[in-house]
Amino acid sequence: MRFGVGDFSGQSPPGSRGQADLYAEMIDQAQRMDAAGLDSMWLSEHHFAEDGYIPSVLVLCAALLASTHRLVVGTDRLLAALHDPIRLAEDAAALDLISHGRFVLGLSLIYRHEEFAGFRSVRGEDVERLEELAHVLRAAWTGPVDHPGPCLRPLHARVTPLPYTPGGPRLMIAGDGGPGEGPSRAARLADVLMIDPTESWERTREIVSAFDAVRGDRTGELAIFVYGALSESGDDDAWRRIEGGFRYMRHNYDRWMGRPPTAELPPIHYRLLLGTTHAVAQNARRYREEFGDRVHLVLRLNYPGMAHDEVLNQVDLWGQVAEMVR
Amino acid sequence: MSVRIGVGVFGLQAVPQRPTSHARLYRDLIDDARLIESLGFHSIWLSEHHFWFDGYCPSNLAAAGAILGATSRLSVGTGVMLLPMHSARKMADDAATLAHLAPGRLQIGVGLGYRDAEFDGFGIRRRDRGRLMDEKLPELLRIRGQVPRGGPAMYVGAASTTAARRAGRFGLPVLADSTMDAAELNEVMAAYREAAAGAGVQPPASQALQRDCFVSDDPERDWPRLLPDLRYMRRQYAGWGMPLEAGELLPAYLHRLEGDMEAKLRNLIFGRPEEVAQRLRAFAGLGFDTILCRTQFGNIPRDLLHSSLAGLARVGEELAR
Repeated sequence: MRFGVGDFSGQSPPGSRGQADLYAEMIDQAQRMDAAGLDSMWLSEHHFAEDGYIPSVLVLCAALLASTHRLVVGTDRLLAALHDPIRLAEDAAALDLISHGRFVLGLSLIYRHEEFAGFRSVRGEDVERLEELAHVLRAAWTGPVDHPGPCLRPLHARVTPLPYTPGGPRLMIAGDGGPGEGPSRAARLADVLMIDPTESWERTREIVSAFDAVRGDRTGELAIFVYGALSESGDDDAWRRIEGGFRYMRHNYDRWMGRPPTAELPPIHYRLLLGTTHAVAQNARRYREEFGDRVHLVLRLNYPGMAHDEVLNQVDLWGQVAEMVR
Repeated sequence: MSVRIGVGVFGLQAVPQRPTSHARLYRDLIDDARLIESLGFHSIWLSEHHFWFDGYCPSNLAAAGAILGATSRLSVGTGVMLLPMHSARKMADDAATLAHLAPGRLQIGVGLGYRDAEFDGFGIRRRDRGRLMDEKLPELLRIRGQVPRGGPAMYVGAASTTAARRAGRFGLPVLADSTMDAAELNEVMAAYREAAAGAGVQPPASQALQRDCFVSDDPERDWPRLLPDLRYMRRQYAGWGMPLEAGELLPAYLHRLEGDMEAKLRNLIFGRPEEVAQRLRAFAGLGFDTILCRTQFGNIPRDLLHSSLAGLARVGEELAR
């Protein structure tokens, strides 16, 4: 079983530290994860956000990969339709080469109107664009691309250099939507199934079993994301440490999704990992019991506006949990 | 005038005369960047091409991110990125993100590109490249208001008076190509100043020049070792820049290629540190305060690269006085 951290959004709530500080701190935090024996760090992409939500995850991944030795660094939700397929194939291959195979490319659908409109991307083609992109990337990472469309522009090129990993970096796709949608798409097109931290235990089981059914095995890697925080004083203190940033994060996503602000905080149905290292380790073991050693459990312990030292403290505690569970 | 010395250009090419894996080339790039930082240079420069068999680096900003993550003071430049082939918005976002990560340490040079295969691969027409550049440059320039210290320094690559005029109209400094001699440079810079004046723009005082330079303590020993790689690199660029024309016979074409290659090799500055310093000072006198010394030609033997870098560091100290 493996243990990751994220996602990182680089958001700067009004009155808090700006991106220059946040990005430099991310390098420190990544190095701390490496030292704490954690396995991965994940970045997420959005555009036109007033709080500076990271628009360019790949160049930051490059910096993080170059400043760590062991850590996997990936995108959990790169907005597939907003990237030129050839440029993305080139950049992802570069990250795979820079890191000797430590990069994972997580692709995502889009939901914000501003992002469709700002990039003149068509909502009705979003799923097809993601699916075509996954095929094009695989082709580009093994030989010539000869892709007629229909949603992506016609592509005829041979991308060089080829990646470090034969066949290219691992792809990850989220199991969003019904069983025939995300889980099936991830099984058909990706190496790793991503499960969003907002999914309940029940939904998580449904998503994994739909993914396994389409693959026809129970060996596909699962990156199960979860929100939480650690404190040796217990779950109340753990929550207190992240409460402000969590509320900011959640209400921002609610606003983007056109939903009323989540009232129940912390939202219990999210599978939160809150509490002492001992209690969180107990909960983390449940994932292995349910799904086996293929689970990659990714904890968001970093929230907008949180102090750098507190993130480092959380990383250390999460590293202890990983050691206890392993 | 005090002159800043940058070194390059790193294209991560697995040249056929020295087969190397790209994972190794990237690792060497990071090692070289750390060495270049420790030698006190102002900057390291990358270069972009696409779809070439030897894997010429198509991802300059990803490579720049890796260098910025692995060093603490060194600036990273692109000499040049081919703007017509990029989404200007994506490139602006990438550059702004790196400028936040490493304030004051990013230089973005942009150029048109010229290889048909590259335009074809991106589904655009070569003949639209000037128009695309004019459309995309303003979008790229918007980052200057969004990031610390005004964002990355921006340059327009110029190997001709046309490109220099564009730089002048936009009020951007040039990154003058390495293949021009002093007379050609004067002509290009005159066109630059004229275009800036015509557009009512005050041209920036700081201008950049690229030069092929190799510093050697023993020219007679190093020249024969360097020559095959120099000829390889110049033949590659000559072939890219001058495709076979319709109806042209092969012997005539090869003669034309060789002529171009030899002409450009004549602009190489090769010699002992004091000679190189003297010749670079003469170029600085033409109005260039940033000189990008091209001493990585394709992928030369590493001991040659490192000995030239050590010599160039002495040249840089001399010119900084």
